[in-house]
Amino acid sequence: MATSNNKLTRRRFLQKTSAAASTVFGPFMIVPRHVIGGQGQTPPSETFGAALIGVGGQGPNTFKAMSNGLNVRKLAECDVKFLDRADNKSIYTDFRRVLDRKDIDLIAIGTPPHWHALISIAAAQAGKDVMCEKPMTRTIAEGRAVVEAFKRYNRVFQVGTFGRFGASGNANNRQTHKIMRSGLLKTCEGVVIHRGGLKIKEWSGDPDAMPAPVPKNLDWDMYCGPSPLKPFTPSRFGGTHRKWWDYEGGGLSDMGQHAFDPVNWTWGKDDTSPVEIEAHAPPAHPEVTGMWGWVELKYADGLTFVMDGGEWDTPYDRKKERGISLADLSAADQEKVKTLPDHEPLLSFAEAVKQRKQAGGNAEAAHRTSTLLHLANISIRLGRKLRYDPEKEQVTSDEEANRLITQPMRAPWHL
Amino acid sequence: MNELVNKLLAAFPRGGGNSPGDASARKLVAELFALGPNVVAEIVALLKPAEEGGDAQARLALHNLATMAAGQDDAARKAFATALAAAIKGRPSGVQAFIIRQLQLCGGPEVVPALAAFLPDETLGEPACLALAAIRQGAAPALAAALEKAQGRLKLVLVQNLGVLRDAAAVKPLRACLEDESIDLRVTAAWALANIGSGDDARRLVALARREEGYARAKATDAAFLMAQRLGESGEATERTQLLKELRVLGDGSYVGGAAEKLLDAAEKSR
Repeated sequence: MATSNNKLTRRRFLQKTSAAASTVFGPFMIVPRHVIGGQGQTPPSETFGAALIGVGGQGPNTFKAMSNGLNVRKLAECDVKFLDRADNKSIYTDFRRVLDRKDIDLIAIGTPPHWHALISIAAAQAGKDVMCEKPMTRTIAEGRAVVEAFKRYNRVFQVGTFGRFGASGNANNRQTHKIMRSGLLKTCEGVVIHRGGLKIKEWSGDPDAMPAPVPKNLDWDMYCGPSPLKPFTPSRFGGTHRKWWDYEGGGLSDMGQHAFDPVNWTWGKDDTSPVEIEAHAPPAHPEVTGMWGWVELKYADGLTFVMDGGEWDTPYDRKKERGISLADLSAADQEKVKTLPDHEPLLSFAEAVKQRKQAGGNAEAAHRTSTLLHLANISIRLGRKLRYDPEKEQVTSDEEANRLITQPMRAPWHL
Repeated sequence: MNELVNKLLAAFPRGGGNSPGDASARKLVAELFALGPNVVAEIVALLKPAEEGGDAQARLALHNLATMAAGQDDAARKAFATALAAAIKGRPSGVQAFIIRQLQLCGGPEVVPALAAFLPDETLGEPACLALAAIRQGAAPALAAALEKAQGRLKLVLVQNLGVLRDAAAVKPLRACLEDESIDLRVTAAWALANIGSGDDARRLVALARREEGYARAKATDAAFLMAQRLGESGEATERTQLLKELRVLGDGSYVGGAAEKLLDAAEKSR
C-alpha cells in the first residue's frame, strides 16, 4: 500500500529515519491536518498523541514528566471514577479502549500499583511507549512480565522516578559504579543504609476500616481489577490505597523506589538482586500494611543494603555504613579501572522515544529496584529470613514466599 | 483451651498502624501455634463478616498462624491447613473467603478436595480457584471437572487458571472457547492454550488474531508469541520458526512484524 510523504504519520516518519526497517504501517487513510503539519502546526515527526490512565494523585505529574522534551497532545484521559462522564471519545473508564486508538503513541500510567504491570504490558502489546508511576509493580512476577513485553515489542518504558539521573552525574557515584561493574571487586564490603523517609506509619492501615456503599461514579470491579474483589472501603481508593496489600505495599512501596533506584544504579545492581533478605518487624496484618523496623538485603558479592525505617522498635545496628573506593582494589586492578570508559549517559524518556533506545529508568532496572521492595515486604509479612535466587527470581525452600512473588489474578486479567 | 486462646488473643495487637513498639507479638503467635491445630476452629469462630467488623485480632492471629505453619515442616503445615479447611463450612461467605485466602498461602494437595467443593459457587468459586492455582499440585483435575458444567464468569475463571496450571489435558475444552461469543473468553482461552504450549493450536491462535480487532487482536497476537516461546522451550524449533513467519506476515510493517523478525534473526544467528 503506497503512501506519499505528505501523508506520513509520526511513527512512520520515525521508522524511516531510524535504523529500523521502514515499511508501510497500515492501509491508506485520511490524515488530519496536524499530522500533515500545515501552517502553524508542528510537523508530524515531532508530535505524539498521548493518554493518561489514572488521573488522580500523581497522574498529572506523570503525564507532565512523560511530555518533557516531546511535543505531546493529550488525546484521552481514563479513570475508573469517570462512570458519570465517560464519552469514549476523550474520557474513558476502560483503558482497553484507550489502547485501541491508533492515534495514541504514548501512555502515562498514574493508577495504583496493582494495575501498573497489566496496563504497561497491554500498552506495549498495542505498540505504545510508557511512563509508569512508581512503584513499578505490586509483585516480582509482574516486573519480569513487563520487562519481557517491552523487550518483545521494542517499546520504551520509564518508571516515574528520576534520582538515578542525578546520581549518575556525581563523580563519586560514577567511580563506585565503575568499580562494581568492572568485575574486579570479588568481595564487596560496601554497606548502604537508608534511614527514615519511608512513611511507614503514614501508610499503615486501619484494620478496623468498615465497608461503605460504592460511590456512583466509581467502577469498583474495574478498580479492583486483578486484585480480589472485596467490599468497598473508602480508604481502599484514592491515595490511601497504599495502606492495603491488595493494591500496594505501604510506605516502603511508595517511597522505596525513589530511595533505592539511585542506589541500585550507583552500585551497579540493575541486572541482579540480593540473595539474602531479613526483616525485623511485628506480625503483619493480612489486609493492611503496618509497622516494621528494618530490612537487611545482602548480595552474592557481599554488598549490603539496609532499609532502616526508624519508626518501630530499635534502629538497625548490625553493620556500619561503608563506601568503596579504588583502595579496595589491588594496585594493578586500580589501574585497570582507571582505563575503563565511562558509562553510557542515561537517556531521558524523550531521547529514548526519539532514538528508539532504552530509557535510563528502563523496565529491567526499575524491576530490579522494585524487587528490593517486594522482597523486603515479603520478609516483613512472613517474619522469616529469605534466600533468593536472582536468576530464577524465586525464593529457595519457602513456598509461601513464592506464592507472594507470583500471585494469581482475578479473571480476565493475567500476566 | 477456649480460655487460654481468648487470653492470648486479648493480648494480640490489631495490626496495621496499631502494632506495639516491640517484638512481643511474635511470642504470642508462637504460643498460639504451640497449642496445636485445634486452636484454628476456636479462632475461626471469632471471625465476623466485614460489615460487622471487630475481629481484627482474630484475623491477625489466624493469618500469622497460617504463615507460621507454612514455614514449618510439611507434617505440621499439613495439619494446620487441614484444620483450616475443615473450619470453612458453615461460616458466612466473607469469612469463608478469608479462610480460603489463608489456604492460598499455606495449603497443599491435602486441601484440594475441600477447595474444589467451592468451585461451582458464584461468590467463592473464584477465590477457591485462585487458591488452587497457587497450590498447583493436584489442582488441575478439579478445575477441569468444574469446567464441564461452568457458565459465564466461572467458566472464564476456570479457563484462565487451567492456563496458569498449564494443564495439557484441558486443551480440547479450551480450544472450543476460541469460538465463543465472549471476547474475554476467546482471548483468555488463547492465552491459556499458548501457556500450555500445545503446538497443534499455533495456527488457531494466528487465525484468531486475524479475526479480532484492537485490544483483543493485540492479546491474541501476544498469545501467539507466547506459543512460539513455549515451542522453543520444548525443542520444537521448526514449528516455532513457522509460527514466527506467520506472525511476521500478520504484523507486516509494524512493531509486531518487527518483533517476529527480531526473534527469527536471533534463531538464525544461534544455529
